[in-house]
Parts: sequence; C-alpha cells; structure tokens
Amino acid sequence: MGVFLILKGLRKWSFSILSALLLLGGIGLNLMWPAASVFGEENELESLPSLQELVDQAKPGELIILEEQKYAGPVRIDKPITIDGSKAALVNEQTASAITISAEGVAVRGLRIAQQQGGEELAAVTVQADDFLLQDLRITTRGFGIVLRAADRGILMNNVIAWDSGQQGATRMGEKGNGIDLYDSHENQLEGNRILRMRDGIYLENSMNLNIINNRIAGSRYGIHCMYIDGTQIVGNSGEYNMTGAMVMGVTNVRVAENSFTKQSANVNSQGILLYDVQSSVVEKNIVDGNRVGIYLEMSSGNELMNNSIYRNFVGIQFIDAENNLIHHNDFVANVIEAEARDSGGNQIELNYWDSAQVLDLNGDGVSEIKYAMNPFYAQLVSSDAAYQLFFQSPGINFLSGMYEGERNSWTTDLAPRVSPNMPLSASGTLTEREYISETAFMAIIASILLLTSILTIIYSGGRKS
Amino acid sequence: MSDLLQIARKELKVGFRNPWAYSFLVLFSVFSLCLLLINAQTDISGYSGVTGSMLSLILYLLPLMALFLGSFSLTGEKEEGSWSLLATYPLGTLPFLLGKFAGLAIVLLTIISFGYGLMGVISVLMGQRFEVNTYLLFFLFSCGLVLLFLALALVIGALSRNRWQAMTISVMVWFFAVIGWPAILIALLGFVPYLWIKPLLVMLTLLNPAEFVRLFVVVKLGGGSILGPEYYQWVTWIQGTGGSLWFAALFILWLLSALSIVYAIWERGRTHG
Amino acid sequence: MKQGMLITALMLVLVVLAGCGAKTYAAQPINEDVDICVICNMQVKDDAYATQIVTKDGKSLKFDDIGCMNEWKNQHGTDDIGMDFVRDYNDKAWIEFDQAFYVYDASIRTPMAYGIVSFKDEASAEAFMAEQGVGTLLRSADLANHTWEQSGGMMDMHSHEEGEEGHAHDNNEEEHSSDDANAHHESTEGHDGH
Repeated sequence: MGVFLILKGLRKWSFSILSALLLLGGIGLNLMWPAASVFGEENELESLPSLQELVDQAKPGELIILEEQKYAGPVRIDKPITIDGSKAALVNEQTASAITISAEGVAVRGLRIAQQQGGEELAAVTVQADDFLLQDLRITTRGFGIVLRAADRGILMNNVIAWDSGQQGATRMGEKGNGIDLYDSHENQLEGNRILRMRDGIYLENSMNLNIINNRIAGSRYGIHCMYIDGTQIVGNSGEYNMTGAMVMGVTNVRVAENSFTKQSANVNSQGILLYDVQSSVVEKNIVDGNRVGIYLEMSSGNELMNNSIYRNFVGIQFIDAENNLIHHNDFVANVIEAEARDSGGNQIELNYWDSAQVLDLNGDGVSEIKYAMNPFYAQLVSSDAAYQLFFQSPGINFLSGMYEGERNSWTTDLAPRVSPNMPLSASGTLTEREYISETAFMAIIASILLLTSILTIIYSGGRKS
Repeated sequence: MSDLLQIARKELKVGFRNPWAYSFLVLFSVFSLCLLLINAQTDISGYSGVTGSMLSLILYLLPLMALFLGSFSLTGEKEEGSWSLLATYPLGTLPFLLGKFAGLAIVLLTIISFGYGLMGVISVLMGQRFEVNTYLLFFLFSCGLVLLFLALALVIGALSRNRWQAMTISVMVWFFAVIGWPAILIALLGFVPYLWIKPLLVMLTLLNPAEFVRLFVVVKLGGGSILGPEYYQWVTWIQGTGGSLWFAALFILWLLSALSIVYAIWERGRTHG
Repeated sequence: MKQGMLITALMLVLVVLAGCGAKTYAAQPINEDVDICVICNMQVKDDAYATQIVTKDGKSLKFDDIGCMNEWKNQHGTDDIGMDFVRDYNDKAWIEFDQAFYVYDASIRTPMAYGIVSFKDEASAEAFMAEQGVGTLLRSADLANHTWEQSGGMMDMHSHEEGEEGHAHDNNEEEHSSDDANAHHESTEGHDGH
C-alpha cells in the first residue's frame, strides 16, 4: 500500500535511483508479510486450517468472517457467500488457483493471498461466475493475479497484486502471469487496483463494456492491454516504468481518457499509449510524459485524439498507416522529435500546439497561418533498416531531412497549429521546496566556480605582462 | 618538461589575445542563453527536446571552434616564422606539440567553462530547474568533444601551409563529421549487403568523434532505447560503469593516435624542411 | 581524409567478401527483450506461436502469431522471402513453413487469436487434436485458402446474450466463421498465391 506513496514522494530524485527504489519497493511489498515469519515453515503449513471446510459448512448467503490467522488453499466457492478476511491470509501451495469462484454472487474482501504455484493460467483468484465482488485483496503470486473467464458484471476494487519472485531472484517478463486477466467477461468494473511487476497489468480480451478506472500499474510489460474489446472506458489510470503504458489493439468504441503514462522509456519498444487496429475510439486528456514514444498510432481510423498533453518523449506521436483520424488540441512540449509519420496522409490534424514548430499568427486569433508538416524522411529511413536508428536526431539527419522535399502534399500536416499551449502545462516538478533549494544551491555553487575560474584564467593569462 | 610548460604558457597568452577566442566565447554564451530562455517553462533533465537541441548546438559549435583555434595556432607558427626560430633551439618536437595542445586545451576549456558557468548562474537566477546531473554531463562531454576535435585540428594545422588552407580543411572536416556524416554513410552503405550495414555503421561511428560523443551523451541521458533493437545490448552496457571506462579508453586512444599523427607529420617537416 | 581512405579500403574488402559464400537461411533465436511482431507490435514471446521470415538479404522478421506472418505476406508478397519458419507446438523447434502440419480451430487461443498452431509431424498434430477434441488438420497449401479469421473479431452482442457458457459461445463463433468465410476469401484470394 505504502509503496506508491513512498514512490511518489521520491520522484524528484534521479531516474536511476527511482527505478532501483521501485524494485526495492516491490520487494518491500513482499516483505510486508515475510514468508518465514507470517506463513511459517513448511510442516506448519500442513497443519493450517483449510478454508475449504469453512466454505463447505456455510449456507448460501452467509457471511464468513475469518480469524486473524493463516488458512491453507486451494478453495472452491460454489455458493453465494461473502468472505471477510481483512486479518487473515490464505496460502496456497497446490497446483491450483488459491480461490476458484464458480457460483454467482460471491464476495471476497480484505484477504491476503499467496499463490505459490504458477503456470497454465494458475491464479490467486479464478472467477468463472457472474456478479462477484473482489475487494481489498492483497495478492502475491507466482502465476496470474486474478483471472476472469466468462464472468460478467463483477467488481474488482482496490486490490493489490504483485509478482512474487521468491528465492529465484529475477524472473523473465515472459514467465510471469498477468495481473488481472479477462477473457469473455463483460460489464466488469476494475477500480483502484494496484499492480506491480507482472507481465500485463490488466489484460482484457474478447470482452465488452468494461470500466477500467483509477488503476495503477508499474514495472510490468504492458500496463493495460486490450485485445478485441468493444465499448470500454479506460479512465484515470496511471502507469510508470512499464514497457508500454496502454496497449490498445483490435478494439472499437473505447474511451481512453485522463490517464497518465510516464517514464516508459527503458525498452527499445516502449510507448506511452499504443493504438493498433483501433476504430471509432476517443483518446483524450491523457498525460504522456517521458516515454520513448508518447502516442503510437498504427492501422487505425476514425478515432479522435484531443486535449492530450504530450511532454518530454523521445518521439511525441508516431503515425504508421493511420488514416481518417481527428487529432486536435493536443500539446506537444519538449519532445526530442515531435512527430513521425509514414503512410499517414489522410488524417485531420489541426489546432495542436507544437513547441518547436515555426508558427506565424498574422491576424491574432491564436492560430498560425503557417502549416506544420512532418518530414517523413527519418521514419522511412529506419523502417527500411533499423540499424540507421543510430542517426536519431543527429545534426546531419536534420540537415538531410531538410533537403528531402518529395511529395510534400502527402505528408502528415497540422493545417492550423496553435501558437500557444491549449492547456496549462501540468506541474512536472514534484520537488518539494527544500529539495529544490538544495539542488539550486548546488547548481549555483558549481556554476559560479566555473564562471569565476574561467574569468580568472582569462585575466591572468591574457592580461598579464610577461 | 619546462619546455612544455613554457610553450603552453605562451600558447595560453596568445590564445586569449586572439579575437577568435572571444568571438567563439560570445557566440557560445549567447546561443546557450537563448536556448535557456526559449525553454524557460520546462525542466531540463533527461533526454528531452531541450537537451536534444542543446546537444545539437554543442555539436555544431564546439567542433568548429576547436578546429579553427587549433589549426590556426599551428599554421600561425609556420606563417609567422616563430617555428623556424624555435627549431634552431634544442627543443624537441614532442614537448612543443604537447605544450601547444595543453595551452590550446586550457583556452578552449576556459571558453566552455565560461559558457556553462553563465548558463548555470542565469538558470539559477531565473529559477529554472536544471538537473545538476544533466548539467555536469553536458559540461564534461563538451570538454571531451573539444579535446578530440583539438587533436584533429592539430593534424589539420600540421598538414596545412597557411591559415587559409587550414580554414578550408577545417570547414571541410567539420561539415563531413557533423553535417554530412549520415548522408555520406547512408549513400555508401546502400551498396553493401544488408548484414554488413550494422557492423560497418558501428565501426565508422567509432571513427567520428562528433558521432560517438553524441551517442554516448544520448545513452547517458537515458535516451538509449530510441536507438532501437539493433543496439540494445550496447546501450545497456554503455549505461553501466563499464561503458564509461570503455568510453574513456576510446577517448584516450583517439587523442593518442591523432597526436602521434601530428608528431609524425611535424617531425617529417622538421627533418625535410 | 584519413576516414575517407579507410572507408574506401573497407568497401573493397566488403565487396569481395560479399561475393563469395552460399546462401543458407537459419532462423534466429527470439530475444524477448527486443523482438516485437513486425505487424502488430506486440512483444514476441519465446513460445510455440512465434514465427519468423528470413529475407533473401538476411533480415530476420519475427511475428507473434502465424496470422501476422500471413498478413506480412499479403502486404509485401513472397518474392523477398529466403525462408519462412514456424515452431513445433511441443518442443519449439523451428520448422520450415512448407514442412509443418497445422491445426486450426477458432477456440484455440493464440496471441492474435488466429487459432492456428503448428507441428513438426502429423502424429503430434493428431495427438493434439485428440487431446483438445477439436481442430482441423491443415498443410501449408491449405493455409493459402484459409480464411485467416481472428476469433476475437467475430464477437458480437448476439453471441454474448445467447451463450452464457463457454461451449455455447464457441459454437456460435464457428457458425460465424463459416458465414464470413466466403466473402473474406474472395477479397484475399489475389494475394495469397504462394
């Protein structure tokens, strides 16, 4: 729980320290109930009371309040009961999901779950029935976190899911399971969950009308990964240090809004938001800051991208084979390259703010009379051979792009760029006043030493008579 | 050793009476301050648009400055006849050249320190956040870049007969290394089979100080992932301490080989001339 | 000048070297840290669904699903392909595309939901079908006429409302795929020639 708060507080420190802390923080989450002291030794585990017995004895509709102790899994819940386990922990060493819900109307709250076996979609919680509630669960897993199969109208709220690296140390991303994994599960609500170091934080496939709200995902492969979903809201989520924040693929009628995806830049394929084969969707008011590519749009059409804040990415927005999209009122600030486009002439792009565009506003309406065209030279060069990415933002490549003028009218172009930002710049410096002052003081000292030394050198060597 | 110091001291004095030095100092300071003012709204840290354009500015300006000041200094010796005078004394070529190098290096580093000092002080006064790590990284690599191009400048100076020739060659080298580099490489590598492109590109990059210094800074700023899957292992490696040591070794190797070329040319000129 | 000479020398050496050496195409191992599917951009996992094309000039293109490889062939044609590889479902060994045995069923889950898995011999493919209880055995020639329908693309409100359980859902999908088959087939026929 506290991990994210600590992380937020420490954000002003340097990138490297923070990523190290992220790892430590994750480990810390595991240590919140150290295996040895809380779960006890192996032989002790065998004597743990079985949760299954309690469930078997319960009548439908009953509320089971668990005592402050550990229980052994796995457990199958096949009748509508409520389990409140805010003081209890469930340890499962079997090759099965710790909890399997196979009846409608089940609620599980507050339980700590340690799923110690992975593989073949083994999860801490597997749900195969509708109308369920999973709330305040704290899960460490060596497989999946929560798996939903043909489970509709459920609520997953304020759960914490983290990968349990156990004694084996670092695990390859591919061996991990997903945090929350939905397949053929419709109208579910996922709100306020926190997911750390899983493969995909939230994986949604073949599902409809989901609400993904205010979840936080860090250190995973893809934060939110959508495959073939329809009519879903992805609002207010945040992702940090994932390979890609939101991987939205093969979807229609999705609204991606007010999310914040930052610092996804470590992997050579990192992006803030990736949209592939996305139709009739809206992407608005998101903040993508410090990613390798802010927003990546491929093979997508009929979408509207507006009011997004795209700051400090290596590439702000990248279009590949994207047609008939509306892109307006976005702010592009301090990106190394603002936009890269290939085979994407037919989009309607206007009224965005590009901080490095040449703009000229003659009639004072806040809109430039000069169009802003995105030179496709570099994008085409590296698509033929990725080895040329070595030239990224080399002064020479800018010079070469400047000479490349072929078929200018087919370039991706902002017809009417704005001369000032559409939205106030979001506060990026999370420095507290004290840190800010100490850093400034350090800077002032170094800078003055440099300045003084150089002036003294000039005076003494140049002016002195020999 | 005392010869070396003598030459270095003289070089320093001449260097700061040279109007070229001051014009570069003003140019560098003005441009970096402009960048600072343009980006007054945003933080300067990591690899972003601001640091990207700073890097470009450095790559345009500093190599040209080093090439001009360095090559003019050597041709000056020839043109003004002070070398023919010095050559009659029992002065070794090595102390002479090293003294020249040291003196010029101090001149150039002073110019850079002034520019960065001014930039730092003004950013503090304006209340802009300039991450100290980023600032120091930029300062160090500007110094490195300038020293590498200074060594190259001495080669040019040794080869040229007069100031005009030195200037022509300097501009040529600068254009080749900084601006024309990708164009020339892309054109040449178009002829080689696909699998050769990447190893060749890497090898050629190591030959161009402007290019490998730029890439090193980009990686150290955390922008390595933009170089793509082809260089993934390199990038992870350079980001570690091993990468810095390796870079230092490359830097020294470069300086030594350039200086020994200058030595060979100068020594030949001495015995033949 | 120094660099210019070096470049010239290197070029000469290279041209000579490139002239000799016969062409063999080998599949490259998957590196999960950097490899993404050329078509859909998803990370290519080092699993049995990964496929690979090695072009005539030695470039390796990796795909996370055989459907994405098919999509690439539709877009770029097959002229530049040196060799195309799929993997055995059981031991993940690389097999040539033409030599492999394929099993298709809409209910088989693959990364991009094309529902095709590949095997090195007929026996293991049969065994897989027996174990799963579903599937159609295909060869590479049959794949040229395959519909390449993604099971996710067919999901609609009807199948959801009618099919409360997984099996009913699967049946619905199959009906759908045969409906769509003809129309889809006509549109892609022209590109599929192998």
